[in-house]
Amino acid sequence: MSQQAEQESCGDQCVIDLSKRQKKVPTESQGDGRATLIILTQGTYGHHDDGFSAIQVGSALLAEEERATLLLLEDGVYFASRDQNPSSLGLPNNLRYIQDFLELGGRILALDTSLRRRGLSPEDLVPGVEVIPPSRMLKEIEAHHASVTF
Amino acid sequence: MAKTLTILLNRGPYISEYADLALKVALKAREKGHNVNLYLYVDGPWVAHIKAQKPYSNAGQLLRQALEKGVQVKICNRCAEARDVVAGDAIEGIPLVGLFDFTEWLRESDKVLTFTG
Repeated sequence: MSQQAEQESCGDQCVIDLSKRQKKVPTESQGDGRATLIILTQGTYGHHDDGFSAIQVGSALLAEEERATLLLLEDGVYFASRDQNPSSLGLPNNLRYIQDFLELGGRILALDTSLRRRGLSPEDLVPGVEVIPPSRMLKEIEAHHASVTF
Repeated sequence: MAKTLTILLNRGPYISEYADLALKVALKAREKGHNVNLYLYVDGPWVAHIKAQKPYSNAGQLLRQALEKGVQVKICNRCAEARDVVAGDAIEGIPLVGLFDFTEWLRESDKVLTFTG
């Protein structure tokens, strides 16, 4: 582990802060071309911190210049809601982490069927999130070397 | 030939079977001669909090067995801190680390399993 990574991993309550990183998009040649798929099925700001923890894994991968894709399914689609504001709950807003993740080349995909079943549309999501049909899921799984689920 | 399995455990003990299942998979994989890593993430650090012997089957007991069998175990520092689990609260021999230790395991692994829900 690099010294920079070591310091960042244990500083500021161990939150990976991509805003301190230079903005660049990982290419297939970086990180030995490895790509990780992070699947998020849980909602956010509730009793679990799965959403925040999922994007933290993605941010750590991007910080090491590997490719990362966040795939939102089921209640996970709420994670990318463009108008989210948890200030009344006293919690930090995930929008900042989502923006940084996208700007550093992370991809965020949302399943269209999960969106529609919750009365959401692509316009309800943060710009840059790609809405995909279920048929794309297998292709995405095949295109990544490993996946983790939240 | 030995392969490397990394297990991501996001849930704590007793509330579901995930902690027990993750540890039983880890033990079985070690028995077969594979390298096994276990990262305790989100609510997973609670598993390492069960230090005392219990008169019933529990994840802490399985975790101690896994350590004895050579399973590499690490705890997410951020998750532990949020739950006020400090190094002295955890079973001895399990370090509190950042996420870069997990991404390093991801790179080294032939298979990755997540226990969550």
